[in-house]
Amino acid sequence: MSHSGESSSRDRTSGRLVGPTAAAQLDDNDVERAVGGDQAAFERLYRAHVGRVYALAVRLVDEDAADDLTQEVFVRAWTKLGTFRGQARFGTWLHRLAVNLILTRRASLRNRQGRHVAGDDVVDRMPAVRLATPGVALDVEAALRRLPERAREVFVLFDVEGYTHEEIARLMDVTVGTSKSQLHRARMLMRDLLER
Amino acid sequence: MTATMLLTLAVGMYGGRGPVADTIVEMSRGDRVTLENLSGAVEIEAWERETLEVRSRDRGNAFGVRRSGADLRVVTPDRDGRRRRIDAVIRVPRWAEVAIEGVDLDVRVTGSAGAVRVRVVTGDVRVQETAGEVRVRTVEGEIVADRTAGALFLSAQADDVRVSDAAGALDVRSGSGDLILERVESASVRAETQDGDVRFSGPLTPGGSYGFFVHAGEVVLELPDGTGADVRVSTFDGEFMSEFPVVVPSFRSGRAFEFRLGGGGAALTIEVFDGEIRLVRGAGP
Amino acid sequence: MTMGDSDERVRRGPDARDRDERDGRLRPEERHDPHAAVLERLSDHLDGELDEISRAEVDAHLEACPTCRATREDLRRVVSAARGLGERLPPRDLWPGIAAVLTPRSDARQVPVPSVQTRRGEPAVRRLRGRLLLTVPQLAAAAVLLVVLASSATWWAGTRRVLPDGTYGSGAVESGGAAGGGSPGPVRAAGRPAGIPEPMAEELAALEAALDSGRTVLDPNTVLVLERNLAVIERAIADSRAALALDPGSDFLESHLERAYERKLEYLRDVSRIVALAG
Repeated sequence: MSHSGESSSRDRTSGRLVGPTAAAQLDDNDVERAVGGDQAAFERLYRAHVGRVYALAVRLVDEDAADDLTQEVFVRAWTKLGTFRGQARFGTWLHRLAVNLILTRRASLRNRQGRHVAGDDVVDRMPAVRLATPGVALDVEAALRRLPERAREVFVLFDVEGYTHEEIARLMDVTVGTSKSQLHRARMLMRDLLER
Repeated sequence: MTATMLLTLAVGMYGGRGPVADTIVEMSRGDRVTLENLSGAVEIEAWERETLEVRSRDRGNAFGVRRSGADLRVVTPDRDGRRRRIDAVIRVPRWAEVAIEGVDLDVRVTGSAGAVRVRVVTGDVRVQETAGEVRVRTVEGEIVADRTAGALFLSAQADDVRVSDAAGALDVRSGSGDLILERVESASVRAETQDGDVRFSGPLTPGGSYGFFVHAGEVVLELPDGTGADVRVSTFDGEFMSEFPVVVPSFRSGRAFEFRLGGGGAALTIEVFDGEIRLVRGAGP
Repeated sequence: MTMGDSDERVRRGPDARDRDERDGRLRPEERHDPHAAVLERLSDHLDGELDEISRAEVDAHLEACPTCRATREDLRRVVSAARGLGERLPPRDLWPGIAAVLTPRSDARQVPVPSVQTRRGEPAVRRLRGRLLLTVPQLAAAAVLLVVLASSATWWAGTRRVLPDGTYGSGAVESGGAAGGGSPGPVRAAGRPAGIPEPMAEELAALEAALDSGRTVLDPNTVLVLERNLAVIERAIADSRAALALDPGSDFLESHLERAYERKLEYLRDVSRIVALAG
């Protein structure tokens, strides 16, 4: 599913880089053990996948919340290990769990604090021109952070993480049409933000 | 009762895109619409007309309707009884009862006031703006209910159940999914899951009854200030946290304790075998 | 599942501004402003989401229009930059915070209740330590502590007694100051059976046999899903039984176990219906 998901990882004992298939097999062994209550095995799973989960949390929300969110994802994964079906790769399952949790938390964070996070209406009032210091290009991560919330979510899920519009529609509870138009909006804004 | 085949093919093109109307059938009060043994995706939409209309999105697949007494069965012309694919929008009178059973079938129901029953093995089910009793069971597949007024009985074995802006009695269950109940205004709520969390927000009605049961997971209840309830909490290995002041008058044997929130009134039972219980203050009504 | 027009009608707010799903064809008004039309569709064009006719229309325009071509190239670069983003490690090791939740932790504001006395030196249940922690607003903590200390003597007042009808009952002695009248929660029958009721046990056995035979008619993926779901329920049953072994007098644990068996029964009934559907 995700072009950025099938990455190599390091063998847990030797430290050698292993390809995606071997990495998945290492996961399988550890998943079996972790289901049986082996926390050391779960820690190995954590170490193998935390980079991807943390990156997702930072990009979908922000650095302040990312630590807590990442921890919550793994705690939830521990609780739900018994339901891991084994057809998808563990990394894929974990990632989906992470997306679901982060999107839900994000929604409740927004509600509880009444914070007016850059919603869709805010962007229309923003000047159409670049927001960065002239002459200095924002790097992609920083630019990403400036996108209005929904556009950012779709952009991260589609362009960074490789989900399809159908999957995004389901995850975010929007139509495929919304996903497509938010993606386009995000890309156009990113283009402005990244322009020199 | 003889089964009569009513097949009215109305082939209309709507701007070259939209679904093709396959079948239009007159209905009378008390009729029920049934779908069985189909796979794919089906949308049920209630409307003001007294007719049943099936519009297939898949142009190669037309549907018929077989009447047997008050039962209108949406079927495919294929007689060999094998499971057939459906990708259709089915419009039914608002009062009509709807019964759907499938194996691998996504379902969406909008606007019905009659009783709705959906049972699928795999498939996501969404119900919205309904006024009648709704019963949904899935083995694998999420259940979402939004802006409903009637009683809900929702059971998803392996996935989440999400309910928002609901007014009727709720009975929601999952095996390994979360139960997320938001802005529920009901006098009767029962939520049970084995491995998963329960989140609930909404006012508690005086005299109402609320039960939350989790084997491994957490229960988070977001209640308005001024909530009155008689609360019983039981847990084997758990942690109880409350933003409301709690004075516990007694511990019963076996790790249960009771206390009163505010002036009491509603009956609230929370049982978590292994996990956290949190009572948090929600935005007031 | 893609939802069409009906979904658009139901949704309000930002979604109402979104264009219809029309496979990317030009709307009549867009024919007068082809740039706007093409710009709107550039992302879909890039992603291969346009149908043949729309793609051809956009291709034709791009061939003749350097501005739009440049924009498309910009978008392609944005996408490429996004794809280049990789993993990020958190600035500090988060594992201790996670591990703490998976194992006992202590917190100054928490009021520990006296912990389980294991019977006959039985080992503690996997992951379960049988302790109860309370975290309440500071003011209430003192009151709770007093109550805990006062009632700790009665905390374990649950001894199993055989009742006249041969079933076990919990001999719970309730501490003074029981919750004021109208005590909430389910009414517990006094004589609860020690194990599963006979009829339930029979039906469970029958259904399990049915699932066994069902393996041959169901496709392997379905069987896998069904078995994993069953494993969740079985785990809840195992946890509950182990806990009950540590604390046999507990009403809560007994009813919890019963509920787990009821779930199993309900689930196996569902499964047998699925097997019947498939057979």
